[in-house]
Amino acid sequence: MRNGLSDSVKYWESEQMNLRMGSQLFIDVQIPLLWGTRAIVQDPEERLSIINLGGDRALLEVLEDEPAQGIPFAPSVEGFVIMDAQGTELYKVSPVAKSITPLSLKLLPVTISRDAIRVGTNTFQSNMVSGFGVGISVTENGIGLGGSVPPGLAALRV
Amino acid sequence: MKVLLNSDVAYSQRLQSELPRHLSALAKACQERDFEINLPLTTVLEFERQQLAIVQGEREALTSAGATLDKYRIHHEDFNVNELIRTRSLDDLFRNAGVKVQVISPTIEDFNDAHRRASLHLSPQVPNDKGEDEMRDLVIWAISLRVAKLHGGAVLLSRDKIHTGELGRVEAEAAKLSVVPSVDDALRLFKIETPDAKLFIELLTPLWKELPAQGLAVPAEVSVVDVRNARFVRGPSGALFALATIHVRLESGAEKAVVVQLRTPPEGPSEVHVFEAGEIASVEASALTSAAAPPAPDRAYEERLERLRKVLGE
Repeated sequence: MRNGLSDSVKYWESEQMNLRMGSQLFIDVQIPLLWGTRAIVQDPEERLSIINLGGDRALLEVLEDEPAQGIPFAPSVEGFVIMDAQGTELYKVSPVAKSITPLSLKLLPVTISRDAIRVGTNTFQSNMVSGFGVGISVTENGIGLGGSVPPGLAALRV
Repeated sequence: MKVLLNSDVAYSQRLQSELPRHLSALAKACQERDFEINLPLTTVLEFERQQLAIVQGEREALTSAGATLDKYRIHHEDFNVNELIRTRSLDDLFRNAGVKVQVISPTIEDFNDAHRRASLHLSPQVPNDKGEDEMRDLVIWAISLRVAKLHGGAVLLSRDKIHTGELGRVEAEAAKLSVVPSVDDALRLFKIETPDAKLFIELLTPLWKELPAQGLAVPAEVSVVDVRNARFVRGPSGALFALATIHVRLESGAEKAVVVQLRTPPEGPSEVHVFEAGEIASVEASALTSAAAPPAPDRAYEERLERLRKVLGE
């Protein structure tokens, strides 16, 4: 169910995309995988990009498996940790394992392999999601397949 | 020192013929310090179960490929999928990495201890009404406590909420069992140079000689003892801003903790600033570039951005 137009991203204002990611086919979706307030995108070369939509404007945090410019981070054995401006560790990205692990964020870890998208112990395999605002959504309260864009998020533009 | 592993730290989605990178780093660190990896049998068996499931899929795929070739009468050598695709045990993978490893089987006392905790919902188990079976985790907990008590301390690598929660903390402290959620944390605990510490020291080294002028009486050679809370911000064209609390050994032999801020602009000299520990030196992306000389466009970064925009359908 779409919420009031005033506090949501307007469907017609935001770009639609077609994308194959972790064996899922996303057709005409605005955000293929929404992890809390962050859009996770994997390109055809399997590189991960993460965009935080929680502010007034989309904030690119990870670009093609590397921390984006202007984003605090620390390298780790498996990849790197993304932090906020105060140095709080938000989540860890492993470019080899293609996994995103929450540190201070209260979300389930996500792994995007060739044959599946794994969220915690749940596996999404070979689904087709068409015409929804969000393909797979992960919130503090649960996981959903196919839904509307939650209110208050910035449009997915970088 | 004994280092124990819970199965979640060893979890892998791929068929492993050698240790994954993070466990390889752990093995190397343990080998250098003569630490021994102790694998609860539960962890070894869970790893084996995951690997067998993957192997099964791989063998079926190869058998199917062979059948397709046969169907179209395409000649190929005979092969035995069971010989070609095999699993390796977790303890073997560690042993091959050159580190001392021992598989710890649960004793009847461990089982009794875990059984009692599970049945009575005792610490460290979180009370739940979901009927979750936490027996395996409790067996690993019992083994870890036993090993820690026996050897005067141990480290357990686990992300499991049963092992990392508040409820088991007192018991773990009494047994001198440190519980850490990742290899990075284990390395930090071992006081081994972690990737973030190594990068910070690498950036600081060319500027080390400037520290005495900032009131920090350090010897000529780099004498960083510890690096904490390191964070970095990349700017255009390779600029880097870094901030960390470091412990340095002074010329007097004493140790001092300071906050060090580094700036390495794409052009021109790098800068170092020292603050007393506790002073606030915030990370600001704007500090990466000089207002007087705006940076040249970062073409490589723009190209990557453009590729992402295409994926997003912009």
